Amino acid sequence: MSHSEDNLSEDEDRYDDADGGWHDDEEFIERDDIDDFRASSRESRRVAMELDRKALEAENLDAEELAQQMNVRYGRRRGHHIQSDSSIPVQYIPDVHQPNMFVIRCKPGKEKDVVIQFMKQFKESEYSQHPLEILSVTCRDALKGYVYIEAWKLAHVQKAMTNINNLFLSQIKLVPLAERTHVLTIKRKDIKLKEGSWAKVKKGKYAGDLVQIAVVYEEGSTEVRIKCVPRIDEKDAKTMSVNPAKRKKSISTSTVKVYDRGYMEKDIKITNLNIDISPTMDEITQFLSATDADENNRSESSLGLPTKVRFSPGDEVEVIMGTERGIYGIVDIVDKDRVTFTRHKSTQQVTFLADSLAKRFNIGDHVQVLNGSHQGEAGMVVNIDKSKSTITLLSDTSMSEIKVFSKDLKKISESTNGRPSGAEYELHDLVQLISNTVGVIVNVDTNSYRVVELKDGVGVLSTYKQEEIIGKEDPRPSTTSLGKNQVVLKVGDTVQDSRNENREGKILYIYRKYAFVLSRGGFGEDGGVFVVECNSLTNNNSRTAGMALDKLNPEVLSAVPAQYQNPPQYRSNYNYGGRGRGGRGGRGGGYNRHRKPDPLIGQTVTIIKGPYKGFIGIVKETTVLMARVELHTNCQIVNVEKTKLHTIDSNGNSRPVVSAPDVSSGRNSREYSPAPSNYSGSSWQSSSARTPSWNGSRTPTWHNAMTPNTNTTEGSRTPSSFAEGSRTPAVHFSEGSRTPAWDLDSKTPAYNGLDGSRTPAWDIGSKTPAYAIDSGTRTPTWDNGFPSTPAAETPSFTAPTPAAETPGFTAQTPAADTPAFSAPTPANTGSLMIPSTPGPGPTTPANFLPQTPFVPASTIPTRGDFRQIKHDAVSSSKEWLTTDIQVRIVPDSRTSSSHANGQHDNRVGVIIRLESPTTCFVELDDTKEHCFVEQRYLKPVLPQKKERIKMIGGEHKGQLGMLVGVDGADGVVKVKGGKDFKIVNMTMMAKYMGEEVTEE
Amino acid sequence: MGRNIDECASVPDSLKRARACRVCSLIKTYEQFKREGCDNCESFLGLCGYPDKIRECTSSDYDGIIALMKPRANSFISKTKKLTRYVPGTYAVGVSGRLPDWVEEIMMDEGISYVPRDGTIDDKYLMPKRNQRVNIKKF
Repeated sequence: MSHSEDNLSEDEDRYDDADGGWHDDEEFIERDDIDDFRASSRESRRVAMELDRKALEAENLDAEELAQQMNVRYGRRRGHHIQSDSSIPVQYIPDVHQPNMFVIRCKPGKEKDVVIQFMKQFKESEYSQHPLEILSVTCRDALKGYVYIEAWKLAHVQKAMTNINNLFLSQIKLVPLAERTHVLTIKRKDIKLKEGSWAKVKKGKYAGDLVQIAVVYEEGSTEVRIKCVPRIDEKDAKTMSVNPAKRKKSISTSTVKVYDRGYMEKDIKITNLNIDISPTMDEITQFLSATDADENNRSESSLGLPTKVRFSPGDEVEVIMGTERGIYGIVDIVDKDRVTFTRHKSTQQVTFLADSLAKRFNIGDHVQVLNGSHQGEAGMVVNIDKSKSTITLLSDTSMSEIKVFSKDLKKISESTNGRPSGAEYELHDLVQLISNTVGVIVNVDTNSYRVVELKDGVGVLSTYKQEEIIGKEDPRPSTTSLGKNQVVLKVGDTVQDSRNENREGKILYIYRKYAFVLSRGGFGEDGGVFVVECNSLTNNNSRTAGMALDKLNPEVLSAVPAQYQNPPQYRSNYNYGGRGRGGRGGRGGGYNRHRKPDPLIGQTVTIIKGPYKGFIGIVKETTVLMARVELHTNCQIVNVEKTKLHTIDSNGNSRPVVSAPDVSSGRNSREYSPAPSNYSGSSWQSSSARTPSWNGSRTPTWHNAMTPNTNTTEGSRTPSSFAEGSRTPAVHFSEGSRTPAWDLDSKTPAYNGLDGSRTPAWDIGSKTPAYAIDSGTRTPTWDNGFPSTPAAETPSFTAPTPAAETPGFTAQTPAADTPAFSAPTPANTGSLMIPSTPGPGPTTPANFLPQTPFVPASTIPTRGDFRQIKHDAVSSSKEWLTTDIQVRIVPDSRTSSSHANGQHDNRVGVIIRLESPTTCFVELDDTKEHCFVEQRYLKPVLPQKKERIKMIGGEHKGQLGMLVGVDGADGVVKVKGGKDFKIVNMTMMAKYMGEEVTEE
Repeated sequence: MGRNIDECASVPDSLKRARACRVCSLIKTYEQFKREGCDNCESFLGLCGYPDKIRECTSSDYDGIIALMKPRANSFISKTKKLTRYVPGTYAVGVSGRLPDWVEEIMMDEGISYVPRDGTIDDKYLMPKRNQRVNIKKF
C-alpha cells in the first residue's frame, strides 16, 4: 500500500539479520571489535525499537487520522502516477468518499440552459456570503430531461436549485455509485464515412433524400461533400429562366454547389446526415436513374457500398474483402459490428467486421426478398455479381428477373409464394397448441413453428408441427389487463418487466393474466418474445415512467452490446430503476396516483343532510367518498360524505356534488362511481360504453354498493338473471363430473365456460351494456330477489333504478376503495365464482375478485373455437371409429346440431359395432340402450393414467395398450405385445372398454 | 498563466455559437475565445485574437455540458474528465475531433500530455471491459 511502510518492514528485517549475524560470528571476532560492534548493534537496536514504537503509535492512531494519513500518502502518489504516464489506465471508479451525485429531472430540451444557469449563479455567488456549495452540474445530449448534480449534501443541491428555472424540484434521486460512470461515458464517434457510401439527409430542403458521399475531407472535419439529386425549386427555376445573369451570380456566390453530370454536389455537416441506413436496390437505382448519366458510367461499382448489413445468427456469410476473402461459414454471434462465424467444414470460429462480410448465396438457391419493393417475393438465384453484393433472382411468381442486394435476401428451404408452403400461421400469431396451451409463433419454418409457449406461467420455446397447432387464437386488441400499480395495460403498450429491468417491449397479446411481450427490435432470446405476468409489468408510456439511469443513455446501452448474450452480468447494476419506481408508487399512495386534484377542493358547498344540514363551507380536502369541509360559521372542519354536499354557484343555485355528469367524466371515474350510477343510470351507462377498460373496475363497485340494499329495493325491479348465473355452474358440474380427465387440465373452467357461452344467458355477462339490457329484459326470471351472482351485476346496474334516488342509498361500502375492485373481468370471474360463493355478502367481492384466474371475456368465444378445432382434429378429420372404445355423445360443433335432438348429449357409451367407417352403434353406459350414432356426434373419451387404451389414429391405429403416463399433449403408452414405451399424442387414443387383456 | 487558478472562467453567452476547447473541453463562445483565449490552455495555444487557431483548436461539435464549480474538491466528474487542474467553468463531456498535429507538437515540446476529448481515450478509463477480448481482423 505504501512505500514507507514497506521500507519500514524491510528495515526491521535487516536489523534482525544483523542481530543474528552477530551471535553466529561472535567467536571469530576480536574483543575490541566486539565492543565496537556491540555499540553499533545497540545503536541499531535503538533505531529498531524506535521504529517499533512508531509503528505501535501508528496503530493507536484513531481511524480517521489514519485514513487522512493514507490519503496524504496514497492520494498524492496516485496523482503522480497520472502525471508521469497518462497511458496507464487508471480506473476511475467512484468511491464512497467522493461527493454524491444526484439526478434531477428538468424540462426536456432545457438541460443545457439549466447547466449554464447554475454556472452563472455560481459565478455571481462566488465571492458572496453564501456561495453555491455544489461541485458540478452535468447534462448530456443523450439524456434528455435529466441533470446531474454533484454535491456533498442533498441540502446543498436543494439550496442551489432554488433560483433555477425549468427544474422539477420534487424529483431528486441519488445516483448509485455503480451508475455514475454511465453519466460520463461517451461513445467514440468513429463515423467511418467512405466515399461512395450512402446516407440520408436529416433536415433541410433535402430531408429524407438518399445521397451519396462524394468527398470525405480530412479527419476532424465536420463536413463532407455529398452528391444528391437536385430538387428544383420553383422559385429558383423562375429566376433562372427569367434572369440568366442572376442565376449565374447566385451559384457563384451564395452556395458551394457544384453540378456533376446532373447531380448536385454540396458540402453538408456530418451531423446532418443519417449514415446508419441501408438503402434498397430500388432507392439506389432510383438515385442513379434520376439523372441523365450515361448508362456506361453506371457500372456495378457506382452502386456504391451498401451500408450496414444486418446479420443474424444462422446466416451463411462470406468474407468479401481483404486477404481472407472467400472464406465462409455460418454466423454464430453478432455483436454490433463484429460477426463471429464458424468456418465451413471446420470448428474454427473467426470474427470479422460486418463491413467485410456479405451474405453468401449460391446460384440455384431459393431465396426470399426481405426489404424493398420486392419484399416477400421468392425466387431462385440466377446470377451473383463479382462483388457478391448484388444478386439476380428469378421470381417464382412473376418469372421475371429481380436484382437485389444480397443483404436483402434470406435463404428459404422451398419454393414458395412468400412464405413456406402450407404455413397457415404467421410470425407472432397467437395460437392454440395441442398441449392445451397457447403460444406465440416466433419463427416459421417449412412445416414447423418455433413457438414461445405459455407453460405454468413462463414462456417456453418449443417446436411444433403444423398439425400440432390447433388453431389461431382470436386476438382481441381491446383486451386489457392491469399491470403493476394498477396501470391499465393494452395490447401495443410499451411495457417493462419490473422484475427484470432488462426486459421491455410491446405487448403482443394479453392472455389471461399473462402478457406476451415482443422486446424492442425483436432482439433477445426466443425471437424476442417473452411471457410475463401482467401484474409485474409497468407501462413505459405512462407519465411516471421510472428513471432507469443507466438505460437512459443510449450510448451506454450501445456500449454494452453483449447484454443480450449474458444479461446477468450487466443486470447487476440494475437495481436503481426498480427502486426508483417503487418509491414513486409509495409517494403517490398507489390508488390516488393518477388523480388530478379534485375540482371540488376550494368550492363552496352546502351540506344538505346530517347534523350539519344547512351549513355552508369550503371543501378543503376530498377522498373518494368524503370531503372535509371548513364551515363558514365557526371555522370548524368537518368530514361530510360527498353525497350530502351541494355546490353553490355564483347565482346561488345549488346542485349535487356527485351526480353532475360533467364532473365525473373529466376525472377519475372510480372516485365517483358509486354515486352517479345511482343518480343517473343512463349517463353512467353511456360513459361505460365509451371506455371499455372501465368495465372491469366499475362493475364490482356497483355490486359492492348495491348488495346491502338490493335484497329489498332492487330485487323485484332489476331484471337480473340469477337463473342464467345458476345455469352456468350447473353445466360446469355436469361436465366436470363426467370428464375427469379434463379436470386435470388447467383449462377446465374455461372449457366449461364455453358450454355456458352457448346459452344466450351467458352474454349477459358481456361488456355491452345495451345488450345486457336486452337480455335482462328477456329473462324475467328474477323473482327470488336474491342478488347473489356477480354475473347478474351488469343488467342490474344498467337498469335505471329509481330507488337509488333515496338519499343515503349510496351505501358507502369501503370495499370500493380497495384496489381489488378493479379486477379486470368481473363478468367472467363472476361466472367462475358462482358455484363456490352462493351468497356473496357485501364484503366478499373485494376479496375474491382478484384471486380468481383472469379469464378475459374475449377468450371465451375462442375457447369455443378451440374446442371445435380440437374436435375436428381428432375426430372428424379422420375416421377414427373403432369398437370397444368409450365415447361421449356430443353436439356437432360445426353444425351445432345434436344427435337425436340432444337427448343423448353428454352421455357416455361404448362402441359395440361399426356400421360404416363413420357410423356405429353405441351402447350407452347408464341405460344400456343401443343407439346408432354418426361419428360427428361422438368424441373419444380420453383415458387416464393406468387405464387401458386403444389407438384410434396414427401408426399404431387399432393397437391396444395401457396409458402409463401423460406428458402434456402426449401420452406414454405401453403397447400390448411391445416391450418398450411409445409416446403417442393423447388425441390418438381412446379409453378401451373391451374384454381383451391389454397387458401381459 | 499568471492568473488565479480558482477564478471562474467566463460562462458562454449563448449556446448557439459555443465551442469547446479540444485540449481542456472548456466551453465558450467563439467571440469569448477570441477575446479571452482559453483560460486553461492559453499559455501554449494562444487562441486570443487568432480566429484560425480557434477554429482548429476548438470544436462546435461537443456533447454534454458540465458546470464545474469545484474542480479540486474530489469531484468524481472532474477526476474522470481530468479537469482537476483547470479553472471552474463550463466544460464539455466530449468534444469531437483532434488537435492539428502542429499543436500537438507544441504541446509535446512544452511537456504537456494531450488527451483527446473525443472519447477515444476516456472509454478505456471509464469502462474497464474484462473478458471481452475478441479477435478482430481489420483490413
